Amino acid sequence: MSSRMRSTYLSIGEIAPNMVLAKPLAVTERRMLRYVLPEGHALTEDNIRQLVSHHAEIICVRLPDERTETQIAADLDNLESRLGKIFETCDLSQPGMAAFFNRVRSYLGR
Amino acid sequence: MGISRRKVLETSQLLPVFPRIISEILHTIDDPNFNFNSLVRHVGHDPVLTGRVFSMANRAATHVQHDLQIKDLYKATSLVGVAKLQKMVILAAMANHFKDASEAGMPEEFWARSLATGICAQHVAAFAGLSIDTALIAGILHNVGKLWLLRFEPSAYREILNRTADSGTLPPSQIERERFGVNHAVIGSWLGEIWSLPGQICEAIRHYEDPYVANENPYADVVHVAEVIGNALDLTRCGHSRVHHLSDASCQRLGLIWDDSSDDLFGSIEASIRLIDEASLFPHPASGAGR
Repeated sequence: MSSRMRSTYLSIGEIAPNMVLAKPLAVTERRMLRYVLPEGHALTEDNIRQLVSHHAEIICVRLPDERTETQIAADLDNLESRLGKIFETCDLSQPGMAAFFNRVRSYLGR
Repeated sequence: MGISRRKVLETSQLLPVFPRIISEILHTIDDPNFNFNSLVRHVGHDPVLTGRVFSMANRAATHVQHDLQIKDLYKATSLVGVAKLQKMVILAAMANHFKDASEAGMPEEFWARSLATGICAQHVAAFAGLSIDTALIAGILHNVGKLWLLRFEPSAYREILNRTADSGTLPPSQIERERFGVNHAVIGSWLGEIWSLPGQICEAIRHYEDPYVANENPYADVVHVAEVIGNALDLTRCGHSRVHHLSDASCQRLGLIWDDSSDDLFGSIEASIRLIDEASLFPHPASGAGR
């Protein structure tokens, strides 16, 4: 198993204490800033309680990537073939479409 | 034979009445207090929805206080939050409406695709500072013309579905226009007008594939981009997702730039879909009958 970490977006129900924030967290309600936590912060039970009270929905945390090198390579191969089919009819020479395609590939392959 | 607005109007009488709660939400989008009472009343009349709200509230309550048991609907809804409750009500009402409207049974993939586009539209609208409820409803309804075709032109429409499944590259709208004179988007917008939905939603349904002719209606841009993102991320996992075109002008109008910051948008969408999946509102079909 590798010690690699990957950023993952979780719903509030999937969050547990000690998970580490991959990005700064700012919870707003009715356009008012209600709760802020910095990147790298390890969530405590009290933090989670506050997030639930402020109706936070999605949190980005760092989780260990438990895949082996072989699994990662296989996942990337599958992704390339899936994306090849999905974008089959697109004109990827157009800058806008190419930027979108590359971003989707980078996100799904992270 | 071509399909006319008159034909859609006549057949619409065979369809169930459009859910009143959706019209109420759309008419009171800027009045959260009214929405809250109206929503709680609506939830209270639906035992399945009530069960889901209690289940979600009790899960949230365990984070707040370990031994807390929520038994009161008002407490449960305030713990869940108005925004989440509104989303649950819209999804449940639309799922029931689609189910009732499709006499021969709604293909699972149809609802999965509608829902995925709705959720993507909600996140894109939030990013652009637009109404998330309007976007959610427009996104869910973007394909409603296909549901009409499946019910009132079943054999001709299934033939089109088979043709596009075989080729994989032909845009279905083009074949629909050749066969019926109009495509599913136009039929969907007629249904929206018949159901007295706001003009912005009807126009978004009509022009989500060609948003440049939608008089800069931001919801046409939102649904267009949402449908593309839903397909690109293959949210339905059905093997039929295809991206044909993405309008640069729509992305610009919504302020979308495809860089590192897009991960927040994609990640939030996937997490939202998982959340709905847990509440059993998002079927993952094993086969691809009827797109």
